[in-house]
Amino acid sequence: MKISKELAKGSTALLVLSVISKKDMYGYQIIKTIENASEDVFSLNEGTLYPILHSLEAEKSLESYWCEAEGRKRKYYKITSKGLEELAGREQEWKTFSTAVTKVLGGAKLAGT
Amino acid sequence: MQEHNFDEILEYLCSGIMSKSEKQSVRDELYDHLMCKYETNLAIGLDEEAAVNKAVEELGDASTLRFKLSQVHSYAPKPTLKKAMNMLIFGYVMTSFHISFFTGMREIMTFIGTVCILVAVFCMRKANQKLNLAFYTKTVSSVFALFANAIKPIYSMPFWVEAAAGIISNLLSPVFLILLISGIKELVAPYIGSYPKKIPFDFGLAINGLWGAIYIVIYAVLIDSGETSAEIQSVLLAILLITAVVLNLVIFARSSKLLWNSDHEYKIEDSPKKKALAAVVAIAVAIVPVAAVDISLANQKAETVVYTVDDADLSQIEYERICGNLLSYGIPENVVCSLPKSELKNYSRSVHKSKLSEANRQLLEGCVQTHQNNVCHGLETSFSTCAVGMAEEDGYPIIRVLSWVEYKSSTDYDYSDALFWECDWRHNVAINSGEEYNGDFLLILSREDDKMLKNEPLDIYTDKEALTDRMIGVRFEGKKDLLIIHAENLGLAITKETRMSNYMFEFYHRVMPFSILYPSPLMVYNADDYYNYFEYIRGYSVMLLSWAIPGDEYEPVTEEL
Repeated sequence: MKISKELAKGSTALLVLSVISKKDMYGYQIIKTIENASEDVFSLNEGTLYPILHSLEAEKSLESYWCEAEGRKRKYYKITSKGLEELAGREQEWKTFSTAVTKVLGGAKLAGT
Repeated sequence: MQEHNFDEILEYLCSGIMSKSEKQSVRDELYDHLMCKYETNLAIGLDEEAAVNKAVEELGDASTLRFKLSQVHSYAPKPTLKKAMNMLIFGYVMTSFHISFFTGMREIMTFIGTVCILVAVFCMRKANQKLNLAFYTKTVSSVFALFANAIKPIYSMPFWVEAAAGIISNLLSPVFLILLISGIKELVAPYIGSYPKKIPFDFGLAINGLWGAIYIVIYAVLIDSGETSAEIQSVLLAILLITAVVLNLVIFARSSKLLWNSDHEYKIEDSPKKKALAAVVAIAVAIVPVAAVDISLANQKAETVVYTVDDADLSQIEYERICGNLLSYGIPENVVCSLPKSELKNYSRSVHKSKLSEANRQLLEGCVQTHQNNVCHGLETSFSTCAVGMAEEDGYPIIRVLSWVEYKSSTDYDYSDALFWECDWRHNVAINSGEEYNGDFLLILSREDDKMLKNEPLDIYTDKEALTDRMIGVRFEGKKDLLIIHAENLGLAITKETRMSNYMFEFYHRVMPFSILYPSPLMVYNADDYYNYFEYIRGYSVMLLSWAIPGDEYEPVTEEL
C-alpha cells in the first residue's frame, strides 16, 4: 500500500535523517534502504530526495564526502551532531503526532459504535 | 560495466543552478544515481537501451526536479533579498521621476538611482539565469550611457554614433526590465498561490515589450527618413511609459512582500565580496580612462585678453548705419556693441528692416516663425516654405546668421561647458560651401572686475565633412558672466528649389565631475528672447539679410555721404 503524498510530505526529512544516522549512505542507497525497510510503502523519488538532502546539508544537519566507487565519483552523506538533535526532535514530534492520531482514530471508532 | 552518457538530461536538470562548482557537484551525484539505476535495470534483464530509458523515466517530471534543485541552490540570502528589492524600488523611482529643484538634481537622482538598481540586481543575480542576465544588461547599458556622456562634449559625434547611442540606451532599458520581471516571476512562482493580490507580471512584460518595439519603430523611421515623429514620441510614449512605470512598481512592491513572507529558504553565497569587487573593478576599468581624460579637459582654464572692438577700419557713419540695421532686427544693444568692426563689415550690404521689400519682409517673418515641439526637450523652429540658401545670380550667399547666448549665473563653475550649433543638412542646405565663403565668427566674452575679456576657446569643433572646416562647436571655460556670439554665412544653394532647414544650438552644461552633462537645444532662428529651463541662460538667434536681395531699398553709404 502506497501512502498519499500529502501524508508522506512532512515525514520525508525524518526518514532520511533516520537511515543516515545508522550508516553513511549515498542517494540511491537511501531510496533503496527506505523502500526495503518500509516494505515498499515509502518510495522516494529523486525529485523529493535530492532537494531534501541538499537542504539538510545547507542547514549543516548533514555532511558529505566523495568516494570512488565502481569507477565513478559517489557522494556519501553523514549525519552531524546538529542532524542528530534535529532527528531526535523530529522523532519526538512524530511520536506525539502519531499517538494523537491513533487516539483520535480510536476515539472516533468508539464514538461510532 | 559500460559507462553511459546522460549528458542531455543532466545538463537540463542542473541548468537552473548558478554556481559552477555546485552545478558540477550535483551533476556528478545525479550521474552516479542514474548509473546505479541503469545497472539495476541491466541486472533484471533489460537490454542497454531499455535500461537507460527506464533510468531516465524513473526520474519522474524532470522540470519539477530542475526547479527544486535551482531553488535549493538559489544564492540570494533572505535579508539581502529584502534589501535588494527595496533598493530596486528606490532606484527605479529615482530614475523614473525627474524632479529638479536645483541645477544638477536630476543628474544626481539618475546617478544614485542607477547605482541602487545595479547593486540590487547584483545581489539578486544568483537567484536565476534571467536575473543574472538582467544584471549584465543593466551594467552594459549603464557603462555605455556613462561613456557616451563622458565623451560627448570632448568629441563631436557623427549622426550615426548618436543614433546608435540612442538605440542602445533606449532599447536596453525595456530589455533589462523584461529580464528583471521574468526573473522575479520565476523567483516567486512557487509562492504566488499564497498571495492574496494579483501580481501583473504578464501585463508588465507586455507593456515593456511594447515600449521596446515602439522604440525600434521610431529609430527605424529616424534612420530611414532622418526625422522623428514628435507626436508619436510625446503622446504615445508618455502614456506607455507612465503605465509601464506604475506597473513595474506594483510588480516590484508586491513581489518583495510576497518573497519576504514566503517560507523559501536561502543560503548565503560563498564569496559575494570577491565577486562584487570583481564587478566594480570591471566597471572601473571601462570608465576610469574616460573619466581621467574628461576631468582633465573639464578643468582647463581659458586664456584671456582685454577685449576691444577696434580691430578694423570702419568709418563712424558706416559703423552707425550697420549698427542701426542690426538693432532694427531686434538684436540687443549689448550684443551689437560687442561686435568687432571686422565682423560688422560683414553686414555692410544689409538694409534696415523697414526698408525690406514686402516680399522679403514676409520671407524674414517666415524665417523667424517658431514651432514648438517636444523633440529633445527644446524649442525647435522649422523653416516651412522659406528658401534658405537663396542665391543671387552670381551665386553669392545672401544670408548671414548671427546668434548669441548669454550665460549668467550666481555661482562659479569648476568645469568647462560646450556649445554646438548645426544646420539640418538633410534638406540640402549648404552652409559655407566653398572656401571663400567660410566666414565663421566666434567671440567668447566674459565680464570680470568690470572689464570685458576675450576668452580663448578651449576647443573648436569642425565639420570634417564640409568642404571647408566649418566650425560647428566650441568648448569653453564656464564662468559667471559670459556672452558667446557666433555668426556664419548660410546659403549658396545648390539649386533654387524651395527648401526647409533647421538651425539648432545644443548646449552642454557640466554640473558635476565625471561628465554628467545636460544637452539642451537652445533655439533656432528665434528673434525673441528665449529662456530655456536653465534660468540663467538666455539664447538668441536671428537671421539677417546681410546682402540685400533685389527689390530692397539698398543704398550703400559711402564715405562721401
